[in-house]
Amino acid sequence: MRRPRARRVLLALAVTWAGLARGTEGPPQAPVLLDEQVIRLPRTPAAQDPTASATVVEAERFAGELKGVAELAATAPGVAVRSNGGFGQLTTISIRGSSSGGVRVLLDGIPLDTAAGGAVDLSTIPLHWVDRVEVVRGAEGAYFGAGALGGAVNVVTLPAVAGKWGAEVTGGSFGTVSAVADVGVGGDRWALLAAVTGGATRGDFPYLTPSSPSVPGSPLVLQTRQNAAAAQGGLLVKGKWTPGADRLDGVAQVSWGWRQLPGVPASPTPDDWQRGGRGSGALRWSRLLSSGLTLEAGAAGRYETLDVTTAPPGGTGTTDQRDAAGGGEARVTWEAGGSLFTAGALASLERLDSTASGDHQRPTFAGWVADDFTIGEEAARISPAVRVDAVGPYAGVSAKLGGSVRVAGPWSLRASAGRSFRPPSFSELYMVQGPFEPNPDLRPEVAWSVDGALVYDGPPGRASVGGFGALYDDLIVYETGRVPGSFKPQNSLRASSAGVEVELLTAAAKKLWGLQGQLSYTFLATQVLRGVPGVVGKELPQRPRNRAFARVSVDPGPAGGHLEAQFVGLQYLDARNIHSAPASLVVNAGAFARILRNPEVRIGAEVKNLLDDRTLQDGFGYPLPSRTLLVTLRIGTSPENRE
Amino acid sequence: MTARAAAALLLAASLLACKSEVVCTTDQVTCDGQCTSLQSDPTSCGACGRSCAAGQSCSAGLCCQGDQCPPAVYAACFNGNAVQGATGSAVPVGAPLPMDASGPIALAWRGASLWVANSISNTLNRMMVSPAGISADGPFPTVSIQVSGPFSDLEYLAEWNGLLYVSNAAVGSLVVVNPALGSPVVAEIPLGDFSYPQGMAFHGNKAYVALNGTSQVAVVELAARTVKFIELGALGTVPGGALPSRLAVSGDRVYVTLWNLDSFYAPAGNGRLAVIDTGTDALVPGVNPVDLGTSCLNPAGIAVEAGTAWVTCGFFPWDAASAADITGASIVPVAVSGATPLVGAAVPVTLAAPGALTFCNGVGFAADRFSGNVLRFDPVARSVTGRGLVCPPSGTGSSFVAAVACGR
Repeated sequence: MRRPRARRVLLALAVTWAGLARGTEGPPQAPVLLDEQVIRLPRTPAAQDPTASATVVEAERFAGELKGVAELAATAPGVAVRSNGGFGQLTTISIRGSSSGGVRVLLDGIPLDTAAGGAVDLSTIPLHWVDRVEVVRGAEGAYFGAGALGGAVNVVTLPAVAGKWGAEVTGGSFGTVSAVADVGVGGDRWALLAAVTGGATRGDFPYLTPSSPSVPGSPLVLQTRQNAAAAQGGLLVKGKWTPGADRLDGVAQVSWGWRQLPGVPASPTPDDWQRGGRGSGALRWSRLLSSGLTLEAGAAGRYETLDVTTAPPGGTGTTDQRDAAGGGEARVTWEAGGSLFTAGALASLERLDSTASGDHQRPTFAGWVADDFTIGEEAARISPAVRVDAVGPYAGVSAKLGGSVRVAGPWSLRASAGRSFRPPSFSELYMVQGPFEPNPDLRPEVAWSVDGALVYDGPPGRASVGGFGALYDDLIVYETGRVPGSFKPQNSLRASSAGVEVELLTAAAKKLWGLQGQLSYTFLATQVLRGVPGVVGKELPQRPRNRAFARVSVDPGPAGGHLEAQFVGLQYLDARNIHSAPASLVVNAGAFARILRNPEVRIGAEVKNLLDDRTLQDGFGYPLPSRTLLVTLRIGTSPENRE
Repeated sequence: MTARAAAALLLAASLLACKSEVVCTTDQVTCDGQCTSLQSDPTSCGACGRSCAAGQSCSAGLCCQGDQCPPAVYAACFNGNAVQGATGSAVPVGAPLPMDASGPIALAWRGASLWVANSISNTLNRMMVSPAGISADGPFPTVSIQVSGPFSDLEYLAEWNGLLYVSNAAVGSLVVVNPALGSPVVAEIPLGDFSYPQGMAFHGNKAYVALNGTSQVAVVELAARTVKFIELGALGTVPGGALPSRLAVSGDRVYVTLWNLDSFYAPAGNGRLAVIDTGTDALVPGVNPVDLGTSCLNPAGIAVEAGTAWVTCGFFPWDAASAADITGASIVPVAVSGATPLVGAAVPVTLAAPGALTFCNGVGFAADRFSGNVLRFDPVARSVTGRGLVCPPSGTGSSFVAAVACGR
């Protein structure tokens, strides 16, 4: 009898403009007194939410390593990464047990999530562009807009610094090549950065898979990953101009990617592939007034294409998607006494034309106010924020209240609570494809979160130990539809997550060959509170209870190296918690040598999956690369001249 | 006696002989010249002419009332996530046995145990049947079949020589389970990427498996666990549209239902059958495909009873608003005792899309794929004689009766 055999279709998501080009340098004298609630070394500007549980990952610390946005984000606690393979393959993240579609991802402040729904594919962001990745955990709609249920990731691209330049080429295993060149020019009042990047891989790594996947203990057979090649490229132009009290920031990004879609070993898809491109730009003007008032206004736009071809017998043909969005935003920041007050509003319009869900558009209007009070010479601070988003017919309030108090010396306590919502995506509302039914009656998903941590921030480094809890309600999942064999999205799932996050970053022994250490650990316990009977009380799948990252690095001067390990505990593969994937440990190591100091010429080598575990796979059954060697040659501005 | 008189007497005698030679199935008897099952006929329950009282059913030859009746048939309620017993009149009996939202999709007896394959959870559950009803035989799941990633899709379950065989559509394999062993999953036979195995049937030491995704039938040598393939792709109206689904064995032939859909999963033409010779493991020359007629779209189930293969048909689109949108619903008889299959007049079915089909003591039970009914079917009278809502719709209004199995 006929039953659906269509592929799982990527779904769900929302859109609003959260900020305009926040990744470019802020006003030079921006009166933002930000609490030291983020782990960073060396000190860097903090995340958008001053009292959030956040981690800023500096790409510079991983210079010469071919690490994408997800790999950088995964060094922070609370983050779980899904990767379908190596370079260029689908990579998404979830935070604190949320779905990956419940994480807002911004590139220089421009939201990358589209009305089509589903998670943002972080592999589409060229890795050489990344200056830092800000991972903000918790219900962050008040600061990042509707959609940030589990948190937000803001990817900040390289700054425009006059006189800075560099070029880098990488080559390594499985036909992986990568290159980037960037140059910054400018004068006293202006700077312009241009960066071009490209990369490709065959992706044909070896892996071990059970000869009989359904039979426990069946012998492993060696396979070579097929149809896993990828290529991507991009151009980034970024600039700033500061005539008098004004400042103008602009960024334009164009990227393009193509990849083959290999499928899982039990169901390989040797003829599937996809291609896509994204162009985005933002322009922001700001003026710092003498009264402590800063005015900002800007506009941003994005156009994105995605064509997916899935071939018979498992596939259904070609699905095309075109998404365009644009809007404007105004913001005022006022510093008075111990208060830093911000208010803003935005309006945007997004139009999505998809062969799966039709041609639809919806406007977004948002307004927000936030304050950041400091009390008693910064002994304590309170940061309330409220934001109202109206996304098409869906209006909702996101709120956040955070605070911190200095306990003694370098010790402080911080806590926050928040609420966010995510409007249904066009796919969930309108998609009619095979057995999938639309549901125009969906409600927004809602998230509540609380967290608190004890933070140490002293000369040896930074450390924090904290706990968190989150409630995700009215989550949209596909249930059986009205017609037998069909599926229809419903607001039927409620789930909770709670856990512990530990992070440590120290340079206490930096005098000892520039030794640095980093450790992050996450304990995550999730539970389904409402859903179909067989899943209530069970853990959410693909959410490992334990996850840890550790890294040590040395940089005595002429040469350096690092060793890091990523541990992912057992995770369930299904909602009924019957099937599971075992824990895994991946060890990476690398070394570099400076051949010249000025200009800096350095050569480095990195070995990923040093132990050559060929049974690694993600929570969705996709094999991960075996031992991978990458060699990088970089020439560019010396470290002293880069600041 | 003239020759004409003698001829007349001979004719009369032959007519009388014809009249007295009513052919019934092995589980039926003749009552007043009509074939009937003394096990399930409420007008001849246990004996010819012994009628049950109004409102009573006949089950196992005894008149009984509602919950007191032992099940004559069991149904796998996919959306309701339960296995439900029903009387010979298709009236639910006893409480449904929950399957923990696992999507029960196929039923099979192994000895005194009734097994169910769960599509969504990739598990098998073993049930006990007693006069008190149906119950779990140990904690569920009884057998867990490993998944590849998060994808699971068991499609069919059958027993043969003490082993259970499971169609694992997510992987494209036939999984062999020996419940007597501590590690019951003993083998997995690959059937091809995206082969999407569905129904199966056995003949001798071979299993025939319908490969819906690749429009093939896999012939599995059970001892050596080797596989060869019979191509059915050319038997659909459009390339790739044959889509074999269920099989039945009669004599030395295997009969395979073909959905015969187009690339949009809409009917490309009448429902069809493929006929395979078990001696050569090839399509029987000159008879393929068998056209099931205009009354049959999207054929789903098949079962053989007394030399006739009965095929259930019915198509509904994904956006069907109600059972009124079902088209081509019927139960089609195909005489299979001769060299050439002969398609008889279809038995029309209204407001249902019959799928899985089984015969219990001469009475047919067809699972409604659309609205949770089990249809009672009389193969002698060639009519649907009743229906009962055995699998009530779930919260979404959907109810797919995925499988039926006779009671014991």
